[in-house]
Amino acid sequence: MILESIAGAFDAVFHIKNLGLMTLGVAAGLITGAIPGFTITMAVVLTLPFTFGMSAVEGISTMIGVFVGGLSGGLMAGVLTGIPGTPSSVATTFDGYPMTRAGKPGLALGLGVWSSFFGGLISAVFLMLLAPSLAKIGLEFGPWDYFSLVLFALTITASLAGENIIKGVLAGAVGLLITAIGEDEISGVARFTFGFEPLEQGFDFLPVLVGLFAFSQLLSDLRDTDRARKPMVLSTTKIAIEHVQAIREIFRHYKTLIRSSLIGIFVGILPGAGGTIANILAYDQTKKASDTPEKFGTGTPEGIIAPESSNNAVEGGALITMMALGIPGDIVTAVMLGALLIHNIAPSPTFIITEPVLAYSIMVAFALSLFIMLGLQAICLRIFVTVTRVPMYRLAIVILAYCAIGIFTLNNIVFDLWVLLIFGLLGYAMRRYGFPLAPMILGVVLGDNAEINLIRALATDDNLMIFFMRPWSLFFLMIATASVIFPWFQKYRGKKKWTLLFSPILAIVLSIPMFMMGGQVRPVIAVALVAIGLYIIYKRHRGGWELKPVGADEHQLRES
Amino acid sequence: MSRINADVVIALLLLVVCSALYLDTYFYETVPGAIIGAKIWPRVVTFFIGGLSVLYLIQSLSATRPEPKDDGEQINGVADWFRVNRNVVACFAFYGLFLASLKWLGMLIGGILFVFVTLSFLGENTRRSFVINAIVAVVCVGCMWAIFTFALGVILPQGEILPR
Repeated sequence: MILESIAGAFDAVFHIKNLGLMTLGVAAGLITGAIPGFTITMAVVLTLPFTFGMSAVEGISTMIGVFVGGLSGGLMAGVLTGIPGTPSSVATTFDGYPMTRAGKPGLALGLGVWSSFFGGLISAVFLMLLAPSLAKIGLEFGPWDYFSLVLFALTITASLAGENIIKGVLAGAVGLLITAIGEDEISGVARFTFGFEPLEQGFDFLPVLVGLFAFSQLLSDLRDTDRARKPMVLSTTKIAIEHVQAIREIFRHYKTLIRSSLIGIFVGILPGAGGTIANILAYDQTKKASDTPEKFGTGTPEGIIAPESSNNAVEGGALITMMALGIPGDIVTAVMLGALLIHNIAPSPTFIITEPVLAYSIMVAFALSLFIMLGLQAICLRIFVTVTRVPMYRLAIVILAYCAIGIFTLNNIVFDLWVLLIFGLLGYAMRRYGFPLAPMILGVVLGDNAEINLIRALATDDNLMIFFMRPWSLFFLMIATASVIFPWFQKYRGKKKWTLLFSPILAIVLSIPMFMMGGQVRPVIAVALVAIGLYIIYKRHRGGWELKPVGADEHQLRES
Repeated sequence: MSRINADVVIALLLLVVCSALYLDTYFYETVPGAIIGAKIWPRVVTFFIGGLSVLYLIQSLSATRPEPKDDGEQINGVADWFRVNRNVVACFAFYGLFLASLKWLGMLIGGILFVFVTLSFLGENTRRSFVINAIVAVVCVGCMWAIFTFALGVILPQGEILPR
């Protein structure tokens, strides 16, 4: 059965049309990712309208191509200009640009490209191994558990997306509210329409998403006239990527590669956390583990291998969460989830069982796009150099026009274009006043699921205590609470004594639902959690509850 | 020190909107035989947003640090705000005009005009720049229109000017 599905997936992905689309996607991603100001998410969002006429496999494969290309494209700008093409390649510039200035741009690019490739490949292997197992856990979920999982996804996204957790959760809740507008699917009652007929159908996912993310991003780029008019001049001669030397260096630092890839996978699995966090975290950990930390920032190979392998590994982790639990691991997988919904496919814990060919196609397409990315990197480097000569305002306005045409194709109604404009305004205002967009988009994507599961739970039993009595639900509510406290923990770490108790108490508390789950393995994990928690408390007690200041390196990274 | 800052205004606005939306749920009909009414989810969400807005308001009022300025710029009054956000306001206005005129101009002519006018507003005021903007507008919008119309078979708004 599994082999049949895998064979079907290979058949679908290696179809000549699909290969062509993926190649186009990777090329578009490489170029878009390389332009500072244009994010990968924006590139993936703008690809969506083209996927309407495609099959689900073709649409998702193309978007995965754009994503993998975008992640790798970000490093071109970062390494050659010192300006990261995407937030996911911020840490790459710390050592990539100094290496270029030291006269080794070919090696810097080679290290970036091959680290991205190996990091992605490691996460593809994990994706294939972990997703089916995690999906089995997902089958244990009832509506109570699923609703609590959505809450956790929103709170952790809010917690990681910005400095102000209240603004983050508010943004997520407004996302949920947007999905409530329009006719109720079960009873047909119009909600929040105030008699305005076009609102009865509710807001389509795509114009909301493009407005909130792409439209507002483009306008933010145009705010400063001088910056908008200035081309990103790139004074570069012919650069040849040094493949052999780069591979040698990476194999010499294989521990960095594996550690950073694992960090990327872990960050990807967490809902809402993406490449931006992974690349900085991996850089920081590599620097701490290095025998020569003083060389970081001067053009050391490890400083490129760590962020680039981790940011590409993120997507494998994010896809695991999306396919196994139906929860997007990051904002890009949220967009992909929306694309699947357009094709009437709703990822859920049963996704791998009900849509095995599509599920394995996603895995195969992810691995394949890494190879395509390798092949296209050199060609796209030349195109990138040409694109950088075009002033930002010309690119931005042409893309705005494309947004209008692309959005219109969704339902062939002009109302969608007005929705795009209104959410563009809202997105711009949110950016200006410090509201993160990621939780809101997650709220829009998960709103319907949250409502359905809450209604199912209440229809079964209106006792709200069930949310605290079911082990998985309790587990998700506990980690949701921890994610709400997390920003304060980060702020006061090393300054207030209560922060010393945060992780041990969390470990001990999380053992309760693990015990409740029963079976053989989970109680053992619960005992281990209690032991770890008690050990940390004992160690800190022996140390007299001494506060250790947070490292200067960490401060510097956080500021970066 | 004035405690009224942008955050306070946003929090109050959210509270007003939430209250209006919550009240709206009282007008939803209950479908006979339905176990859970259509009003439950909207009430849960608006109540949640309302609660968060109160917290946000308290946080904004108790904040001791001064309100962060827009990218470090000092903005005094509405006129100054328009000066700083001139490009953004213009883009939104041109986009709105483009949408409003779609019925008459259609996607092709409207799109070309939108791109040309906006590029000319944002770009340099030279003849060379205008010519480039015109070429960019015609070629880019024309190509996109052709791809969607002929390759993807989408019927885009034609307007009243072009023959059908």
